Amino acid sequence: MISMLKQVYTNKNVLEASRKRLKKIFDEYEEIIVSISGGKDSTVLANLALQEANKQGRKIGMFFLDEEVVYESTIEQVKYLMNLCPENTNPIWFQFEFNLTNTASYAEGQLKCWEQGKHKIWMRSKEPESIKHKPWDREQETVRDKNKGFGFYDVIENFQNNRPNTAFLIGLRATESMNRWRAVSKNPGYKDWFWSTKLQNGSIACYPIYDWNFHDVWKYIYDEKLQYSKIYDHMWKKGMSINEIRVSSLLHEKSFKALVELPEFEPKTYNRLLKRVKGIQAGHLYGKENKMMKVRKLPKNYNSWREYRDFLLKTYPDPDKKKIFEKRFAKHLENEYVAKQQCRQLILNDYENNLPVKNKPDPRIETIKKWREIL
Amino acid sequence: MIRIGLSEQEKQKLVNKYCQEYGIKKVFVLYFKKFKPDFSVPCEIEYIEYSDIIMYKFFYRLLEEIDDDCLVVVNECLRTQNRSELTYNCAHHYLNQTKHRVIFEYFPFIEDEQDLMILLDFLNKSKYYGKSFSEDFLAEENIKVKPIPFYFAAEKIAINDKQAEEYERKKEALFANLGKKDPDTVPRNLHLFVGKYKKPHIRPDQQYIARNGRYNKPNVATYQKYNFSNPKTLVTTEEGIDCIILDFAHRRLDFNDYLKISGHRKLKFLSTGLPVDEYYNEEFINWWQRVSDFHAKASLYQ
Repeated sequence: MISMLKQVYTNKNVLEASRKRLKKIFDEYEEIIVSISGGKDSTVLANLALQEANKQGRKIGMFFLDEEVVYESTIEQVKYLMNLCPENTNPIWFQFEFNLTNTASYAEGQLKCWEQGKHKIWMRSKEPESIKHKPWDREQETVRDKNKGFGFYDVIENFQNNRPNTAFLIGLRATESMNRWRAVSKNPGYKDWFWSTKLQNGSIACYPIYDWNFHDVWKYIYDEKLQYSKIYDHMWKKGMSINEIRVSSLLHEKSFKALVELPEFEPKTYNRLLKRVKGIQAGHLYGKENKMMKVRKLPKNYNSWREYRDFLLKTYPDPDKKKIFEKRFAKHLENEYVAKQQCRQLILNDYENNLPVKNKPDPRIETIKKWREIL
Repeated sequence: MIRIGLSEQEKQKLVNKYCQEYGIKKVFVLYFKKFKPDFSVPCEIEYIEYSDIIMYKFFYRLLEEIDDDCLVVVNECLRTQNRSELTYNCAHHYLNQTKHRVIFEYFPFIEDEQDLMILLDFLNKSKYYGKSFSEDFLAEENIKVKPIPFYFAAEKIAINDKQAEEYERKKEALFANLGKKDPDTVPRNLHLFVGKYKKPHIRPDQQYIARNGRYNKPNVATYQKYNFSNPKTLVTTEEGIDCIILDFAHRRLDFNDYLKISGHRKLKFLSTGLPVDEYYNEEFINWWQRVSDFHAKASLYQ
């Protein structure tokens, strides 16, 4: 049986509740670092944390992991946040080499952001105050999967491991993803703080605005007259639903659709990206195509999703990653429902398994069974 | 406000009264192409077709023009059950520009009560974000419903053993040749197939409706093409039946549109009694029961 998460409304105001949570964090932890992405949620969290820091006359770290291939508006927002309250801010802006999945190209399935020797084609120059080398002991460095190499989550993990007894503040909201919230909130990370999780070396990750809805976020931004990424305005004007509107990286398997609108929103960023990474034009043209990157419809040349998957696997250009897929698919059921999802992983170059396959019997078979019984 | 089940005259009266009461300077009417109203109001009025709502040429201009002196009327625009559909989202932008909003819909939903959330989102989009339908909302919002009197019955025709066997063979063939096709095509095709058993029972003095023109008779209309401007001339049965259904529409919306446009309220379904017809008959009865239950719960329009 699947247990369902449900929102329960209380009389408390989310803003006051978050301020109390932050006060508790400041009372218990000496070292506090707020993670920012340039998005609306981390903008709110950073402002709330800075207000508390200002009240207590303290400094907090403001951490931004720069993936290089991001909207220009994101960078503007990050600069704005880092300069919002300089006397209370300790900027931690990482700009060094790590691997990112490039969904748009098989030929260049991974992008090494800030790759050494390629500074002429970097999306932009590094910031003068940024941290340009890994600030931890290389011998102690951990890598989750050696096949994939040193990636985004490895940077986060090593950064956190290197900062003992620290409270890391993250702008995760439960309504963004109930399942993700369930995963992080299983066990309190400290005392009865069910809005925190335990990390290594006495550190914790805290989610002080976990109970905010999107309208709480926008109201706070409006009330506090905060600046926010222009991308939200572009998306809003374009008629996108308020729950679809989000700012993220431009390349990985969950955000490639951003490439479709990028030339319209930020033509200069698109131009630079074309020179920087392979496959960008394909992403722009086919990011929302049902028969291409959305993998919703079977191309006409194939009789089944299984046939299409076998073709994609056979012609997969990178032998190392091909092995990862083969090993993973060997554990799956052999049906059309599963094969369609496998095609999606192959098309989007998801060797990291960020879009996991629901390995279950084909629901179409259930529908046929239902109609047999009725008719 | 949301008003369900009003006639064109009642809509006209309400819009006119609203404009006078609130000193409205301009009315914007968002309407679906099959249901273009013709309101006579004491101020300027502009009609925008449902599929044009999303176009840039309207979008930015309307965002500039619509303010608190304007009334936005949404007429019969419940066209998809996808609550986050782009056209709805664009309509929200217009509606959020003014507090004067009137939503007209003939039926409260397409399939079930959850669809009503789309109409509630028109009134106040953020308030109901992520929420499912609750009866409490009917009391909280200005929603009134005018119940629709309705009569429906099934008339069974006799089916012989040979026809029953033929039905079984056809069914097996449809399943056997399904290939990559959607399994939902099996009942659709079977429903059409049994129509041939109904053909000999079609009387020239009665009005019928079918899914397509295969019956090739002048008194059998289709859901895509019908003109019931003078339906009563064909009705001679003792019960005063408006129309006899030979096949149900494939899409619920097509059937609802037919009911809205034709004004037919006394219907019969000519059923073979075979499982596929029984299924469609039951589905329709259940749908109408949901509509009736909703009417019973909502405030009545006086």
